[in-house]
Amino acid sequence: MRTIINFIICICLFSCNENTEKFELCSGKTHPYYYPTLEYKGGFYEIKKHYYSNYKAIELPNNTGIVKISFNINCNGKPGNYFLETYSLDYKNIVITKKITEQLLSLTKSLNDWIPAYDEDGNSVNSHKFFAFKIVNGILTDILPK
Amino acid sequence: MTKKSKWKKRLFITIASFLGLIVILAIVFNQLVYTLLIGVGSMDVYIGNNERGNKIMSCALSKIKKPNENTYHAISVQNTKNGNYNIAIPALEKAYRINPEEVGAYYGWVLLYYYHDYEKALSILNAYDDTTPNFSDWPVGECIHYLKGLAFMQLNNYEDAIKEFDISIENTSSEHREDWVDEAVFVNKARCLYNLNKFEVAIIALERVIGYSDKCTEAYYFMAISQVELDQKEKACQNFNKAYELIKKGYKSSDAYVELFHEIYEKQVEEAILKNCKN
Repeated sequence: MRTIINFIICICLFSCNENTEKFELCSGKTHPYYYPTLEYKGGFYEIKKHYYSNYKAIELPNNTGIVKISFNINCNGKPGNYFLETYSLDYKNIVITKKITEQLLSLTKSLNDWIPAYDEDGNSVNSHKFFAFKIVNGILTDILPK
Repeated sequence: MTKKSKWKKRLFITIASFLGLIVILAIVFNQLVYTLLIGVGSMDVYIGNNERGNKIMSCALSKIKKPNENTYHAISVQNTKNGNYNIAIPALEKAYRINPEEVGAYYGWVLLYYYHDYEKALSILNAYDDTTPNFSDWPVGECIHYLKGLAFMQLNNYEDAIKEFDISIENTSSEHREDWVDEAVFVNKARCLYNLNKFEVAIIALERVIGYSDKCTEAYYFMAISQVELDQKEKACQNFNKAYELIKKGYKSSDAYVELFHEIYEKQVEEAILKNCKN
């Protein structure tokens, strides 16, 4: 019985530890994704494949517009600090169904092969990055910028 | 008039001029500070502080008496690069309304590459091109006919895209020589020909590119794609392998900010070889 209780406590502690693992930026500045260049294993080709093959079209109201997800990648290549905004196709703030935004956020969080950017001194740095997804009638039609 | 009153008058004029100068300097300096604050806000957005940076810019903008197109343009640029489209586009629209002839070039160019808003890009680029008939414009250093061709291509209007690419090739060739034409113009023209099932003509266009630049990875790759369609498997595999060899060495068209329309990737070439060249 004691072994079972210890085992359950261990499981609880392990899962708590996993949930509370916080994202932290490394010391120093945060740079835009384009300078110095932040990369992803396999390039944007892999990123596009990831979204287009995993995204499921949603046939619900409020299913057209642009979903922008911005986030940081720290100097160890770990992503976090996700922030989401939604625009109409003529660039005004609108509401897009959560079935779409949550799906895209989850797909973005599962991109885990970031290669951190390196400054001129050869040190890895923090970057900020975003993706803008164009959704037309629930279908993913475009991903910007790269 | 007595000497004393003359002296008083001179003193009054000097003091009044001095005060006037201070007032003018205060106004100018005040406006200069707000203009500089736009730059400070833009720098803040650059390092990722979108909210704070835009608050600074918005505050500074409200104090600038007559913002010009450059002020709105400055607000727009960094917001475009961070994907804050709801701020970038209204600012750029204001800049465009103030000075369509100056701003139109950048607006059309940015709508094409950064927003993939092809119809709007075409409409702005056409309006801009119409302001200088008989002259080929170069928005942000790129031939306007090439940019219009790209917009048509992305709208799947391949015939009109080819027409624009041909104008671009013709203009550059007549002004300089054909080898001055950017290889991307030929590559994208070939991609349009491919989409119209004109594989042989596409190959001819790409052979011209390779004649001018034998390190153009995209030319080999897209030529191989056309050769696959013509069932010229051996030639296709030679070109896929050449493209792979070049891309591994770092020969690849790309841009720091956005994906180019004809951009290809190492993994993509690798997959094409696996699909077409392995038994």
